[in-house]
Amino acid sequence: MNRLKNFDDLRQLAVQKTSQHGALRLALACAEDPYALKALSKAKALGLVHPILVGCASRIKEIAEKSGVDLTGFEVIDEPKPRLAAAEAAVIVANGQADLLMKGKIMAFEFLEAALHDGIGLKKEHQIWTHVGVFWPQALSRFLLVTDGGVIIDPGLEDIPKVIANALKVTEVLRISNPKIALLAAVETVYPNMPVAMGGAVISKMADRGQIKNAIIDGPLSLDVAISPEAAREKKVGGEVAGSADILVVNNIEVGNALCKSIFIFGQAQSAGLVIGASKPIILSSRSESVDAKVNSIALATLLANREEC
Amino acid sequence: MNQENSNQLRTWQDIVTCARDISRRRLRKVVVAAAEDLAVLTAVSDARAQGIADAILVGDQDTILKLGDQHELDLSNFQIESAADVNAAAARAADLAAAREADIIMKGFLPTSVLLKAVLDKKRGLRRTEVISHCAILSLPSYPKLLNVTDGGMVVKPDFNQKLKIIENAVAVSRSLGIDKPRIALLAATDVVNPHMPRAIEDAVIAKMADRGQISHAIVDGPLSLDAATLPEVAKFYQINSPVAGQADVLVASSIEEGNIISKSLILFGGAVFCGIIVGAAVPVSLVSRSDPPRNKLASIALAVIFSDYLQKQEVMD
Repeated sequence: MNRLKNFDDLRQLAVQKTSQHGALRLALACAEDPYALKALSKAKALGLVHPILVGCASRIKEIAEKSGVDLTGFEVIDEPKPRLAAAEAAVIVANGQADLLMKGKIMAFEFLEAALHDGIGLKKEHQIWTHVGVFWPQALSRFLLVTDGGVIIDPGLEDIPKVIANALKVTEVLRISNPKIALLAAVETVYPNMPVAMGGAVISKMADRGQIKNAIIDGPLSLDVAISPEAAREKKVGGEVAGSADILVVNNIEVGNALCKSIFIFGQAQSAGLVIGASKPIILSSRSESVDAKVNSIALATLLANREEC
Repeated sequence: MNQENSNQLRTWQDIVTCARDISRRRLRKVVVAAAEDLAVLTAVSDARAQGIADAILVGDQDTILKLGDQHELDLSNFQIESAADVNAAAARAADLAAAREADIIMKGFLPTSVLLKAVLDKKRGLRRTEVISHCAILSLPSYPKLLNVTDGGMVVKPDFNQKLKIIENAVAVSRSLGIDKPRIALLAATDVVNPHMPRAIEDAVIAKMADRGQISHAIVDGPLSLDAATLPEVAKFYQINSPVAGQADVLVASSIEEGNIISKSLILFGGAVFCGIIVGAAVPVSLVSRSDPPRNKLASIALAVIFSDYLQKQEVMD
């Protein structure tokens, strides 16, 4: 199967799959969010989802009216306290009453703390949760993934193979076979005084030894060398990944977060964002991403959910 | 309170124009250490043609002249000095700067560490601040002013004190660009102080120090994420009460990876024109890389001219 070329392709495929298998039930945590409501109304119109809104019912109604969103066909569960609303939405998904979980107007870390709670049952053994940002920057005109800029603050070496495994679930849906993964650093040379570059070297050797499968991995690589064939040539960095990375793996949450945001703010890239590793896909796009980005995220999540458990 | 200065430089073209004005008063001089480097020779000959700076070329004279011939660069009016090796070239360049015969030191074909060792050698008295850091000045089509990103080039993992010094260095660079009180965002993944995030905690402490007047000539706030720091509509919609949110002049990163990757992302995805400078010595240290397009190289030399003029004026005032 050919790679999906762009987000139009992705949405088309998602619409086709849901028209075969039916719309998925999506629980929106803290639904007092005009952008999330607009995105859900679009996704519903496309036949992708059946929305379940969890939050303060009266505020939701008010915000929907103000934003011109028709709530006909939306289920609403009244829970005015944000943390409880987040937990309730997560429970609904964990119980199987919904297939997808989405973050509304609540801070990401509060949302994750609530959803990640052991008692809720969204957590899976031996899995970690990671954020995967999917971008289509004009400058590249292809998909580029960034992970993890949203969940793990400081991933250790032992976490990185799992971070990569989670991202591979997304590239599989995008039909990118044998994706190329760059372990980002400030440099390509392995300097012993730069722990991040050292980490990149260690992970790429693990990959050489077959400890990480289904991907072509190299690092340390700087951002320009990772994605620009000219930079890779200029700086004489060989290997299969340099110049054509599909997935950028970063060393901490600040780097990932700022990188994602710089791509969609200053690169005006179309985007999508998910948290992978739970028993169901979780839609977590940045507060400053467009409504379109949220629709993209929902489309991507339906494909992941239809694929199998996530 | 209006913090805007009518002399504030807002684009890379402003930087080039301002440097040309400075050099019209007195043509500033760049000394290139190990000038046998095509990218650098191209940059300095372009800078001179544009009236931005003159240069002294120190290094392997034969190679310098050969490169000039091969690539049809006019090097005839440059002062050229032979040096036995890169260490000698670095030493000579630093000596010329210490003797005030050059305003700016530029890195040629030698490791940055070799150059800095010579520049920071105590006997020359060229060290100005405790920490040597890098500032990347980015001119973006989608931002109304210049963005100063630091430090993506020198300090690998700044500790708390080093982060403060990096901020001081960045304040000086932004002030040289006509921003009297730069707005400084301490970048993090969130705007709330999450006790599990060590860098966000560090930022909160620095912001409070700034509130108490412990950081001069700047408006400092953090933790701020990139969207809150640069998008006024996000700052407004999410009610982030901050004098920096939505209008940052400076983004302070917590590691070399963060600074480096953000700058490169703004260049690669955001179409930024980039110029860079190493700060902390009595003279600016400029470096351009092979892969820089000509306008970046020119802007980097122009930035160094502006910053050296600023430092010289400060010295007179002290």
